[in-house]
Amino acid sequence: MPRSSRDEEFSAFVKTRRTGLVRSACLLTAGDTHLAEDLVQTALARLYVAWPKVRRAGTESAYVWRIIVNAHIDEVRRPSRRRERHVPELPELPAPPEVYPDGLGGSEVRAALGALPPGMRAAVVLRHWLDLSVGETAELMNCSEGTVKSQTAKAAARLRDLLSPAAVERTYP
Amino acid sequence: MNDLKDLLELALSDVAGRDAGVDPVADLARGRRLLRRRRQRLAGLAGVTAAVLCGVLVPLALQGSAPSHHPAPVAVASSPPQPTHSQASQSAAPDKQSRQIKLVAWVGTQPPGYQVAWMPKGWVVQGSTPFALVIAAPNDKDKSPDSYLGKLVVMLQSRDATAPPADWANQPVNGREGKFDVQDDTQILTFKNASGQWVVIQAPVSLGWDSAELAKFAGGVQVLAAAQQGRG
Repeated sequence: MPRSSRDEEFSAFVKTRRTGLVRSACLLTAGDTHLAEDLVQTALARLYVAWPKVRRAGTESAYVWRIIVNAHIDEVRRPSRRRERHVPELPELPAPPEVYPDGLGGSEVRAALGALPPGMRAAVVLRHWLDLSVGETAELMNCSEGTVKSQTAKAAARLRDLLSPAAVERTYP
Repeated sequence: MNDLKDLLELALSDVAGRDAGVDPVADLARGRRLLRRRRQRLAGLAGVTAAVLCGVLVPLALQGSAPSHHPAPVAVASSPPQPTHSQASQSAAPDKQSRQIKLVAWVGTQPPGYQVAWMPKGWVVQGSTPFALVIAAPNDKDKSPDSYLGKLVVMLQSRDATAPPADWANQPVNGREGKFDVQDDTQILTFKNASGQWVVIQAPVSLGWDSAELAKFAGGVQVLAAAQQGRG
């Protein structure tokens, strides 16, 4: 039960924005919904702590996204994630994609996103999914505008390569 | 499929989204928990840092009421014990937590890091390091000078903080800038002293003080050269 204006405003923000945040965070995590949920939980908890300041500045979304992006980059850089894992059997092959009219499925696109470095993926998501400007993206990622432009361009080219018919055929024979 | 936005939309096309009825209760609870932890950490970190950096705890038994496992500093032990106003009043009139605890003039030996002109009537100095002066009710069960909950604490603002949050209420101290806030059961007054340092006073609500009373106490605080900022 909300106890203060902070609680009430924060609750209203969560109600209206949470679903979208988790879905968008799924793009950063290349479809890992559990990690996306963790990132959003972390970001929302920290947003609650900073709520009075952030609310007054009207920067709730930017604040949350900054935390999500940074937390994701921190997460994928953790040694436990980078360490090579030895398993006795070959991992399962990805399931065949649901076929769309253009021949691509959601799982293929997520796999391609997952092949991008996290910073590059973040640049694409912020610029092309959240429709942030180059300047806003640069500020949020704490890098230069030139870096955002180059990362976005490289990501687009890399996704084109990964999702070319030949590449899809190799992945899903 | 050249447009990146369409591509990203496609990536989410078969990702389930919990559209119906988002319940903010869990997020609210996590936020409150984090906020509580952060406040406790900020309150306690200066003392912990003091212990780590100094390697030893330097509790002050100014009233001779310090716990026996904390040896008194040599400078204090070598001087004859001086009765303090708070000691006298403690025996004369037992404090009642439900009422406002009055400020009385400090009469005893001053701690090394911070000098105070006022004390809550009946309260005692529980510990003093260059990082914090800790004053507590005489019957406080928590005798650790590194624990600040429910105690009156004077410290310099952490070196990792630049200024108090702008949205706190204004409460000048000695005509200089000060900010006041109440967080759960704790009142916090952060003010600029004559040297331009931000000094933090943390007081339990149980003292029954308002911001003006806290500012009066703060007005009698002097930060000595030995005082140091904590981290965090």
